Amino acid sequence: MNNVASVLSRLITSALIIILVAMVSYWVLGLISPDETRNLNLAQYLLQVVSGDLGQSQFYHQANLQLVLQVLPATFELVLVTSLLVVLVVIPLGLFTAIAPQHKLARSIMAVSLIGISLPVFLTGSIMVYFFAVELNWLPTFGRGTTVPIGSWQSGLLTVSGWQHIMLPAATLSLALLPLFLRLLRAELLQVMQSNPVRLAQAMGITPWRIWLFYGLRNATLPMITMAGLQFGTLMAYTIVAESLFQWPGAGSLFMQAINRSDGPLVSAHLILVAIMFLSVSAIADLAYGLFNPHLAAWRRQ
Amino acid sequence: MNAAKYHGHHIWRRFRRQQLWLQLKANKVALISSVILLLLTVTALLAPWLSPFDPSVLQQQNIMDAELPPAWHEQGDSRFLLGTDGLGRDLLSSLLHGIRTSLWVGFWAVLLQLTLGTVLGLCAGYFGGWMDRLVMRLADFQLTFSSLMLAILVLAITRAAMGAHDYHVWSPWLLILVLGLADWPQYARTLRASVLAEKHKDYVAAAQVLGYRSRHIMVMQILPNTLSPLLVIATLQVAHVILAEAALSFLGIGMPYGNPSLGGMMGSGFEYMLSGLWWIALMPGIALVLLLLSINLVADWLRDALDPKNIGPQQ
Repeated sequence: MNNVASVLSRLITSALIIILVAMVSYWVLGLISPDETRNLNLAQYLLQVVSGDLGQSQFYHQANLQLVLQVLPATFELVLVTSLLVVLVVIPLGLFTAIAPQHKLARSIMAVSLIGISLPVFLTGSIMVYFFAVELNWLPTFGRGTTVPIGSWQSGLLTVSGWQHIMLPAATLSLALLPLFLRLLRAELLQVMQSNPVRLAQAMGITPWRIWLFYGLRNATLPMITMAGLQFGTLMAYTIVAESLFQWPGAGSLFMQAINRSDGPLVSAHLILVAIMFLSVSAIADLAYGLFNPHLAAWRRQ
Repeated sequence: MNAAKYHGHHIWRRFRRQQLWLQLKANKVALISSVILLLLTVTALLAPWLSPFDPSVLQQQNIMDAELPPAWHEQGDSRFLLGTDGLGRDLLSSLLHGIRTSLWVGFWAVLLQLTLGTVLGLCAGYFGGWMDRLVMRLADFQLTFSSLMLAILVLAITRAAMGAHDYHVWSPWLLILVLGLADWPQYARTLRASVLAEKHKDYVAAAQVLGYRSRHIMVMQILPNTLSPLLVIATLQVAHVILAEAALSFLGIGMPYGNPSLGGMMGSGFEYMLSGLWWIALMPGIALVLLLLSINLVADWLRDALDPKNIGPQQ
């Protein structure tokens, strides 16, 4: 019963936020393209948005929603590969620097991560482009390469050229996020390793690997999820920068193009879609939090 | 006059006797980074006099000097220590002016953040109730949305509405305004927590009994006791704002093209990097990282040094 009420209140707030954002985007539409709002009042615009019609782009003469849905797979795949890279690198490095904090290599990893926090996305991107594309000529620097359609989804992850193209942007983005997550994971693991359950497990003679993975990592997941949810806005901003650096044909590039062409309808459609994305991510983060949090799970069972 | 001089001298003597100075002397990383930061700040402030060329004077540019590598390179020219960009402008001069722009934006935006965050945090903590709930709700929302994303949206929309030309007349001020208004939650949260811890102490009750106004109690009694965490956040935020400014200028929605800024220089240098001319984008990049790293390290040290847990005899 409690669950139903909380889901309902969440849905109602989300709907209110979207309507609020739609009002802002109507105002933005009037600012950028005054012609568009001349024959369309706020109520009509809101009705359109609620019925799923986000208007037509002035430049492409196509439905905005369709335009964004066409480029969304590119952004989604970039974010997916970036997250995979971050997880794959952060877990071993985090475990190592927490288990052997005094080791020389661990200390230098932490020192490098401190420098990494001060490295802007576009600088790491430029340096990687210079080394891997200009000097070594290994990887391409712009576009997505060959894509294969899966239904209406254009995927670049099924071709060699697609993987070659995604390497530099994904590596750039994950380097920007790595230091933050590495420092968080290490701090959490160090704390967990000092806790009584872990000491008990050590005293019981449970193998170190089991302790690290099942006691350490599992307990450190929760703050990592919170952090991932909190960092979503930053990730989005960095994605826009990386997409324009590598001319990645995703939603960020489409947004910047719409800005440069003063395409009012496309810009205001982006605002609404960003709001929807934020609401879904925060809902997913809360769900994941509930799944991984033993306290919440116990409270649910009562 | 004499009293002011004496007072200044007094403060300097106190500073030298204090833990802060002793800890700075003991911590090599902090000492080096604060020296670098000081050097960068001084060169940036003196940029109009120190730099060999004036980046805004077109007569000093010569397209024949374009794309020259740094002076230590074989094809380098001794007039241009760090080389020139695609239009023949001296990179060193643009760099010094760019650091100046970064620090200028950082300073004013952080001042704005600090003021807004302090007022909101003090009010939320001191008055509680609906004001507390409203401020904290807004803070949560702003934190999740991230100031950079908000700045991108607001500045991009303004640019699309005004057109590139008109926009760049206003963009330096808009940049400060947006970055200054967007990043208040950290100050407000920290201050609110300290105010909640302070407000039930005896000295506040005494001030209330004596009949002081709320404003006086908040600003004159509680605020001085909660200053050190604010100072640490403000220092970190300078780096954050400088990074955001660079990213926005890189995207073309920050500083106007004529104004030298580190992010804008890297943005226009990226195309040259693709044809192997690495210095045009890399030199401002190195300057930016040096600036950010030294600010971050100083802030780290400040946090440890001001932490009450660490004050007392050092081992």
